[in-house]
Amino acid sequence: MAKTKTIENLFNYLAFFSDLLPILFYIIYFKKIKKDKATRVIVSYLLFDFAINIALIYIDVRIHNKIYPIATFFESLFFAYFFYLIIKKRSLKTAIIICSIIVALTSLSYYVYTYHYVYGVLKRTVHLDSVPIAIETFSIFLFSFFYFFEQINDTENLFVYNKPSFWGVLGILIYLAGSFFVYISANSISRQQLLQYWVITNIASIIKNIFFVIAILLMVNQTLKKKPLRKNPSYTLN
Amino acid sequence: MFLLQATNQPGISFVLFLGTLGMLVLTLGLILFIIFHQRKVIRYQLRLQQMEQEQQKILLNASIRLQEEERQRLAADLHDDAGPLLATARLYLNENLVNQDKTTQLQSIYQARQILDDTIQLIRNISHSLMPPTLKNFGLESAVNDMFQKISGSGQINASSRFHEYKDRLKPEKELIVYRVVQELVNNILKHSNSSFIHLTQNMQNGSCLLRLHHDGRGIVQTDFEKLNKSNIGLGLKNISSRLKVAQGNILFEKDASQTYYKVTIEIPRDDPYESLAV
Repeated sequence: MAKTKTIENLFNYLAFFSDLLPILFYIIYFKKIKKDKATRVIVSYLLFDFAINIALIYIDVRIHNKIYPIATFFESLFFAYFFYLIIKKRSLKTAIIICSIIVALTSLSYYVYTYHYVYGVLKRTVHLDSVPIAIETFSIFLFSFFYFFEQINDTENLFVYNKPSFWGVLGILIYLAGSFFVYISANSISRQQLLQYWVITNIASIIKNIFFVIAILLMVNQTLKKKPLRKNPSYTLN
Repeated sequence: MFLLQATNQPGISFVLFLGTLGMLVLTLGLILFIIFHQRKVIRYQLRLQQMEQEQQKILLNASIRLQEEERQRLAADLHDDAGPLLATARLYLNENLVNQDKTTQLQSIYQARQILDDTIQLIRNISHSLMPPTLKNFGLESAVNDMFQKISGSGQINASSRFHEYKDRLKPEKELIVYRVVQELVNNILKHSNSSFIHLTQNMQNGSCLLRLHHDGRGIVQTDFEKLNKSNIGLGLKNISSRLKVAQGNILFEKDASQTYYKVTIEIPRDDPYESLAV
């Protein structure tokens, strides 16, 4: 039992600190990739996620269920904006905006309905906002279909895995797929059990961050390739 | 296993484990499908490119071979016809230097002049076959009409041509291409079709110049044309293809709706005033 607890803790720490890994790479190569908006969105999301994780450590466990909605809501917005930036087709961009608005409104109405207070007491007590998480997952999966659809039709791009955005999308998909069932079953099981299963989401989160690092490194590589050769002054005409 | 040990609710644990695994497998499956599909598309495109390159190579070879054949024909015309004629004229003039008799001298000069006239006519014919003067001076309509009149005049076949909308001429380079294509088609019809008539009409359609050739003999349809284009035979047809490619034109071989006549349609886009034709 103690051994299991140690493994759980190890994954907790790894997942917690793995958020910093892509941020660290971003800082190292900041000069080369500072112009890329999609990378900026990913890094902003990681900073936000890290801040949320810190908050979850220091804030009382009883009010964790008020922090999760904030995390879910903004996480879906970060991911949607990321897809909005990496998809080029105008119609798909419009579809992302419309879907995101619908998802945001649905999530907000769910929070208003589920979390409203009756005489200062929460009407319902839930561990996790499973419904908005499920909606978010489906919407992000839909956006990733848009992305892959665009990539299939793109004849200029020889290998999709040479693109940094592909690794970003892959990270997001693995993270959402890995944590989906844990999140949606969170309210059906006890808090104790939820913490035991949380190791799955931690693993998914670690994989996501590794893929984000790959995306950042590919982005750096591409920026280096795109960089024009320095003009040799002796070859220029006066 | 770790998960199963961790809980006392094996049902939920099983669903959770299988669900997560299923989601991950689905996600990875989707990504692998996209990667393999993309590879397949790329392989297909590369094969298409390769085929196109091979086709270009065949067309280039055909055009080189045709050029060589044309040169050989020219060389043969000059060597076999013009050469002996000029040599004979030289003989007559030499005779003039040796023979001092005035009447004989006049006769040989007259003979030499006759031969020189024949040679001039011969060289003119060769030159006309290279570049018809009617085409150069009066345009495609006159040159095609002239060609058809000559064919009809031979009495072997009934040939007629009619230009309906050709007020604005094509560029001279394009006219030459169209003329050569028509010439090649007519030659093929005369050689292989055994038809009793050839009829050519010209119209404009959607900004393109259309020329339609009808004949009642044996002919080919588009699939035959494409097959011959890819094979090593059919040099003339390959030449037609490469010429039309330069003019960005199209050609369609088909059988008439009544299945009685063969029809060849040449489509040439009208000139863009800013476009320059790189021949």
